[in-house]
Amino acid sequence: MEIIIEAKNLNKTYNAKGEKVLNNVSLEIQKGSFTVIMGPSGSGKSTLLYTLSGMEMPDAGTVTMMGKKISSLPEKQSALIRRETMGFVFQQTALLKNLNLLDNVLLPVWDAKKNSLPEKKQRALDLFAKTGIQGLESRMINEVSGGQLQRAGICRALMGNPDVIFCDEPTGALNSASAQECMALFYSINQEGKTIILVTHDASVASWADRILFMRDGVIVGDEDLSRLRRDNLEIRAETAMNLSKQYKI
Amino acid sequence: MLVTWLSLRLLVGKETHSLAIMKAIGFTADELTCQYIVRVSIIVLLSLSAGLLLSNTLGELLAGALLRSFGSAAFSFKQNIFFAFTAAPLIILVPSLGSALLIKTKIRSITTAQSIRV
Repeated sequence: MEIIIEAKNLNKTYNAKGEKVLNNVSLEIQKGSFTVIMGPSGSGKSTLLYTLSGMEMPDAGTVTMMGKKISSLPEKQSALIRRETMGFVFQQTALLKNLNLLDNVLLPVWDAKKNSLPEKKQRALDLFAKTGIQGLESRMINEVSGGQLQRAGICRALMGNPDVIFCDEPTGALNSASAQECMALFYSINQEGKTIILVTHDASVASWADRILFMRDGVIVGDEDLSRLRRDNLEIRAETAMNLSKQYKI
Repeated sequence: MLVTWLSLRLLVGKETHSLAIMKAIGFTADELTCQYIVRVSIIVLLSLSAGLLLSNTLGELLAGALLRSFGSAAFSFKQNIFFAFTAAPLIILVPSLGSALLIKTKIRSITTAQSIRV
């Protein structure tokens, strides 16, 4: 399988004490895969996600995405790559308060020359329908539920037709039913060929993935393949993910 | 200029979360700075238009009334077209736009990942 992201010897330090948030992390992400990064708070999982996406620069090491070394690009090129090849889903508040849902979703393609505005709007409306929030386009973000807000976030991530979608605890603020609906949506997006990298500390969320990376103290302590497990039994997958996280003391 | 710059710094501080989201989804510091330049330009141009309009209509009347209350018998404005329509607007516009440009450093310093997580 083709490798879409390759990270080599990533190191990152935040505080003055020199404690490493990422300690010599190396990994490869295959195209079309669904990878989850699990770990306790402060384990470096979000930092790894942001470093892989080029949003944060590593102190040492390299990140290569589709053959381009994104860990050392100037700001403009890095932003352009993010806009054209990546989608981001954060926790539910990561939408702009002064825009309605439709404008929030259109934001990543505001200056894309490929399509006209009516075409962009049509694509946004198609995504609203696909994610089950049609009819809410003109609502402001305080007029919809957390689950609907997160679906709008997913629409925004998909708007530029990205190759990779990075998700930082996308179900963190949702109830369990909304979280599972959201994960089912991510799974269907993955089935369309998009690569998904998702950070969570919830085993039931992780159970949707093909691969789980376990992190502790800035190091990947486990790399487990879940693709051998049947898709139709989510309970067994969740139990396996739970047992693995216990095994790695996450 | 100092007042405009400090106000813009406060505004950027208030909008850090939104700016971080926009940076994350692919906006550059230049594009975000442009937004502030447009906002500042609109405010300055509206203020200048209002100032010019009022000074040419009510200005002389109000200033004359004020000075008459202090005992002045006659009062009138002497128009200086160059100062009113070129120099004064530039004196206000240039520092304001300079402040907006300076704010780029502050926007560039926003660490996307950390600001989004807040």
